[in-house]
Amino acid sequence: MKRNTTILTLVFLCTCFPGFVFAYHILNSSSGGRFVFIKWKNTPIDFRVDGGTLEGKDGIVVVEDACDEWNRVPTARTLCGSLTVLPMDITAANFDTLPLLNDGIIIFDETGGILSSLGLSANTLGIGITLSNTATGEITDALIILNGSIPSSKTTDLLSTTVHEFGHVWGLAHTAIGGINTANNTPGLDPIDPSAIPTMFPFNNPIDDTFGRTLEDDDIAGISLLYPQN
Amino acid sequence: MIDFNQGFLNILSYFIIVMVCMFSFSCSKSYATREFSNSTLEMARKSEHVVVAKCISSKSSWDEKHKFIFTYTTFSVEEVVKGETVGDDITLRIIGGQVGDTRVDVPDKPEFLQEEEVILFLGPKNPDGYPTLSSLEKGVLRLKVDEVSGEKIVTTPVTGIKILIKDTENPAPSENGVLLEDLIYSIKKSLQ
Repeated sequence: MKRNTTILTLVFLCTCFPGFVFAYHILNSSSGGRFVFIKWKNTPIDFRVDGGTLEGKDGIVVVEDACDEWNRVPTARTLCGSLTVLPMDITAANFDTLPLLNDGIIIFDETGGILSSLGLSANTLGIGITLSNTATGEITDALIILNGSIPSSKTTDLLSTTVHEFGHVWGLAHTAIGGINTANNTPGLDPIDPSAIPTMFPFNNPIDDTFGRTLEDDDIAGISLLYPQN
Repeated sequence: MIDFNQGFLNILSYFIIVMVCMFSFSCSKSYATREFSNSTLEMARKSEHVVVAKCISSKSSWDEKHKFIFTYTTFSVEEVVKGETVGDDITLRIIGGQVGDTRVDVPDKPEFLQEEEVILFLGPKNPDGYPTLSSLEKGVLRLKVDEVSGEKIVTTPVTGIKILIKDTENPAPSENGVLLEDLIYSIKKSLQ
């Protein structure tokens, strides 16, 4: 009886405090009546990186910084492994010759041509694509494409986009937090300050997109659920 | 008697806990691009074409090299709101989809149902001849037929454009959604 009272009390507390619920979303599958999160089976994940430039500069620096941001999450496993620069510039002409090797590939799309060939628009700052087996819930390969045709600026920050796309590669989808913020004047309850919008919000931050370089609590909660430390 | 009640209470407690936990973790289909936060009007300005179309078919399949999965969606064009004529049918080819147990997740890739009517904001054709969506997330506005009035209504939020009643300068009421004809009129007027 005492135990049941304790259990019911906990349930009551859970329902009274919506702050326990986060807005991150996670890739998932309902295959054969079984619900699974889509995630990598083994971590860290190694990446092959485009040997070309990104906005005319060496893109590996941006990739390294983005990796470090995710690897710094103390409550999640180390996710980003080695970064190997390919001896070639990946373009729309040779993009589909790259073999899939159960790892990640990072492409610098200098002209936007690769994105276009995939049916995506010039408005796309970046994309994170995963290949997965929905029966096992395992991500087997991943692809990040960064649009180098859109110059990095205070409102379209390349590093923020890269950190964001890595989030998708790990298995995070977009968060709902940030839709109502003090920048877009959308009416709603307690609009969030733009500096607090999670990195996994789907759009650039028109106030200062560099805010997306650092992960917020919502991002950290999501990745920690997927890949808990120990 | 007492044992039966306690056993039932145990089961009920665990059931409630499971239900609360399930509702606490909301998960959805994946979304994986990062894009400009364009309003509807900005999207119309940036697009080469804006069309009202009906989905005829949508199918996913492997590419020729069996590396990626693409989804091919064919639409019959009902009205061209912006741009030159695009023909009676258009087909979008967008990376992403599922074949068997293999899934290629492309966040924000829109899904279409057969017979569904939409407004598409289209960019230039890619080298393979397929038109691109100006934005995955905001490049599609969904339509439905109002059951009472029979008029077509835009169900996706419309932003950054003043909606006028067709053929007038009067603002359209917003309580029951944006009428398709009002949105088309307002887009054309704003782009003049």
